[in-house]
Amino acid sequence: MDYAVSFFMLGEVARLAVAAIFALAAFHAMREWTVFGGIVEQYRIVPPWLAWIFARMLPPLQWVAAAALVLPMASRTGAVLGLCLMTLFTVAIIVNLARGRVSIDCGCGGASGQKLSMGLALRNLVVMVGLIMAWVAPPQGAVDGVTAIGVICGSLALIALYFAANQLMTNFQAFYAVSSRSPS
Amino acid sequence: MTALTMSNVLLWITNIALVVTVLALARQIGVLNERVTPVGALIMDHGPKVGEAAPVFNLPRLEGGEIAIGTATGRTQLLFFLSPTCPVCKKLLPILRSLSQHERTTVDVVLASDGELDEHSRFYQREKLAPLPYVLSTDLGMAFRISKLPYAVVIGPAGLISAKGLVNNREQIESLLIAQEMGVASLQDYRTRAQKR
Repeated sequence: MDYAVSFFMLGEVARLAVAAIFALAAFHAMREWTVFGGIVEQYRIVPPWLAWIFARMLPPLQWVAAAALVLPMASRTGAVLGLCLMTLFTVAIIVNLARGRVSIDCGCGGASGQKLSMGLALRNLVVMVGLIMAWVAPPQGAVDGVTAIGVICGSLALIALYFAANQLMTNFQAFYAVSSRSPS
Repeated sequence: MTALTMSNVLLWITNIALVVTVLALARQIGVLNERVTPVGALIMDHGPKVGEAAPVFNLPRLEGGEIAIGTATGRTQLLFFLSPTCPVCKKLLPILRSLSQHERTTVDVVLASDGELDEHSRFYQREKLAPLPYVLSTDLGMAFRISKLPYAVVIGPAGLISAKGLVNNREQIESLLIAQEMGVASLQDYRTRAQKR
């Protein structure tokens, strides 16, 4: 087995998958600017006036990171920008978890209905591992057909898996809320 | 194409199909969970009931003057409970502004909250809420047993509560006014009656 090729493939899969995740998150946040602004404010990491500036800046920065990750010549820059953004998001989540403010919407793509949890922080860490892979193993030019199939299909599978994990976390929180409301 | 390439392609197809199936199933569970909650504005089963007289208050308006709440004024009053820190409340503010314009001949929209006067004054200015009346009263929230936001209560022209519920979007706010026009407590009530018939 050629370890160099398989390592390069992991980097390729990671950068394409994370690029799609960033682009979709930015798209959803920009669809509901007002709600997204309110959610950023709710995190109480920065003062309200700064939160609104942050809310206006974060989705475009996610678009830039996504575009850079897709472009082979800028993929390492995209990975660094993505890592900065993910570190910011994860720190904000952990700080609020530590404050006990678990009932706020995570804002993972607008108002997703998903509340803060350790699972969310872990999910972000997995995405960050993907970004580190994209930085460590940058694109290496033209690839053969089988590798291309592996990279494209691998990214598609990871994207679907990411959204499935998100949905399952939201479902779990909703079930927990319903079962804690039900009379025993 | 070698057998190895072929098997690789087949494995990827099955892999993606399986992951998409998991995603679809998870989404369906999510949708089912949403449907478990009632249609229209969600009625919380506490506080004064629909059909009962609304608690009467005479409260100072944030922007000056006073406003009577719950009295028989011959006009419908839409009490909207909000908080400056509630993102969904902010989303609904433009909808309430337009609703108060369109329904100005019959409906008075009143914004209600509680907390620090300074914080709410800044919020009122920042969100350009004038000329909507804005009141700050813990007692008002207590009287209606408001536990979740954004929450709306429709008080009819005779001072009776005609509809109320947790509202998250334009349709749910409108559902309360439609429920009042139709003479039902809520769209949930309407659906239950329709199912019985």
